[in-house]
Amino acid sequence: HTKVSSETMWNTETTNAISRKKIQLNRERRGLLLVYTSVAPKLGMAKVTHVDFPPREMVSYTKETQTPVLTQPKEGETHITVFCTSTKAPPELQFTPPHELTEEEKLQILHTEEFVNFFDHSSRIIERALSERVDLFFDYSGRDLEEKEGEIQAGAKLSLNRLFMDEHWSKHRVVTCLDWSLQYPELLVASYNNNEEAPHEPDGVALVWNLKYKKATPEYVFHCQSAVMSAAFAKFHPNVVVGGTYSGQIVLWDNRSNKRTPVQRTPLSAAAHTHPVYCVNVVGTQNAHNLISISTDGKMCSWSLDMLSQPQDSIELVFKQSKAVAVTSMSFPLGDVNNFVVGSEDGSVYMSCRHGSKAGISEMFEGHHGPITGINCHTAGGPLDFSHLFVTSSFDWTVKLWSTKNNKPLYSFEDNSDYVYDVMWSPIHPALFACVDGVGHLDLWNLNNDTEVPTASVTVDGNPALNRVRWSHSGKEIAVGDSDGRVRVYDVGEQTAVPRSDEWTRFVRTLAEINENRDDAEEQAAQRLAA
Amino acid sequence: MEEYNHGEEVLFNPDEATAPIKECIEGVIGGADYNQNKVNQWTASIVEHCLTNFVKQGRAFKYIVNCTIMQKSGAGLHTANSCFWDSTTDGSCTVRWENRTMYCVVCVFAVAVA
Repeated sequence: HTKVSSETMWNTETTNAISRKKIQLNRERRGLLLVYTSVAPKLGMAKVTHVDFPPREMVSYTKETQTPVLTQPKEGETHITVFCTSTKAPPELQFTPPHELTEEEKLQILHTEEFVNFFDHSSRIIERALSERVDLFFDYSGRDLEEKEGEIQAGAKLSLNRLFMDEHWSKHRVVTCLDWSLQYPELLVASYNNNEEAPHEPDGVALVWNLKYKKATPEYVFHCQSAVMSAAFAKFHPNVVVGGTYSGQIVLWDNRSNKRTPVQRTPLSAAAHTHPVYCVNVVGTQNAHNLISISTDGKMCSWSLDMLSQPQDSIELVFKQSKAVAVTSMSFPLGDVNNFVVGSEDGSVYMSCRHGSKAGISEMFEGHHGPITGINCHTAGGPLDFSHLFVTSSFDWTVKLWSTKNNKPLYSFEDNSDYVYDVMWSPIHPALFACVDGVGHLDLWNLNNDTEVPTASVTVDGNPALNRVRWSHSGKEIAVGDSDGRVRVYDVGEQTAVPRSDEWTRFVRTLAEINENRDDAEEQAAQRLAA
Repeated sequence: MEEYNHGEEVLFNPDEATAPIKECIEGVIGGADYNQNKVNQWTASIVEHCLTNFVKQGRAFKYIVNCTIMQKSGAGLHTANSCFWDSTTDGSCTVRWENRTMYCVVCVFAVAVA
């Protein structure tokens, strides 16, 4: 082995010697004076290569409160002045050439706060502009429309308007809650639980989507360390989004700060919640409102949005002094800040109130055979008041209509063939509500038309389980969230969504019919038993 | 000693280098989950394969290959490196790769010979 290498070495040496000799001979032959300059290699510092894997935030329960830490600007931070040709140069052209920025200076500028703010603001605007697809050739005279077949959906009851999905933030996550903004009707917040495929990503994500622009990315991305089970826009603070998480912590995001992490959090201790918070809601008026949160161990806390370090008030929701109620959903009737209804895992609905001597649960309504997934009080304002009505959806494949004056359901809607995951009344139409189930069906029920079958129904491609349904405040759009991280917004046709003036009186009659039928059925059942 | 191809450009191209390194990582730990018993074998084989890959190109470079495998456990990892060399001919290439259970970072430094 060594023999071979020494041979080859010798060969190399010889060839080198021979070539040197050749050069010398060439020189002599041409008689040129070749100045043999040896170029020493020019050495310099290379750019630093970084490898960064950020740590994952861990959930840990402590007895201390978490106050936001203000960072002080570092002493003696160098100011970067960018030199450029002075515009006030005298006409004799005192031309100072622009200072060429070094790589480090460029990087420093990219990290300053002003640049980051500017970049965030401008990129948002440009993204919107790039996503718009305006039809320049639209002919208002309608001549073009004759050639197009069946593209006009003027009569359609439910048509898909938008599909919101983000590859990075919403894929492989389940949509846990939806809420529309009161001040900006085009904004919709969707909360997501954890992504099992990416354990290093934050567990809880809330995205604010914008319906107005065709941009396919979320308007705002918020995340936190624990899966977000419920989210809501703070009704009286347009910049604030509240989230209730799996760890029991309630987090507050603010879109005025440039942070994606919460600006305020409640403590993880026994004073607040230690079980998942499935319901958060801001109730009250502009000047007197509270954030109400209920966790699955039956604890209800009311908070002030300015101070989340401790609850203003807390009650344990127990039924008959013994059983704590595992609350899965809650709803406040229109205009009421004291009385509310909650649905629980044991399939019963409980009526409760926040203040007064009888604070806590007052009544139990039995009827469902499975955990209640959604509950919603009637909110459509109009000439007649139906605020005593509420609907519930459950794992027992049914949606039931109740009245707070009656502890048995008024009616049961049995059209579904899978778990019904959510139900919501239309905010403008008194007899219309929507429900979603686990096989991709979105159903609209108009009780004035038919109580046996839905008035309109649409099945989502791929039949994913639809987790949440939310009407927009205008009552003309419905947002549906599924178990694959997709949020679909459907337009509801005018005929279906907008109530006519006689809908309220018709609904009174519908209710009367429902009550009559139920009483008859009960009588017949009683007669059969007696006979 | 091998003969170097003096005819070729003596310049290290980091962009071209990322592809073979990535293939090499995929080949060794592609579908696997972090396994403490095998991780030493993995780092050794990634380093060997990358190195032989580059040496096979037959260019006049000295190579240094560094491989880091870190289990995804919630901790943060931060490293940095810098060099003092002839930036016209020498170069380095860092490839980051991850799967559900671990991170892998491979750095290759190439220093031109004379």
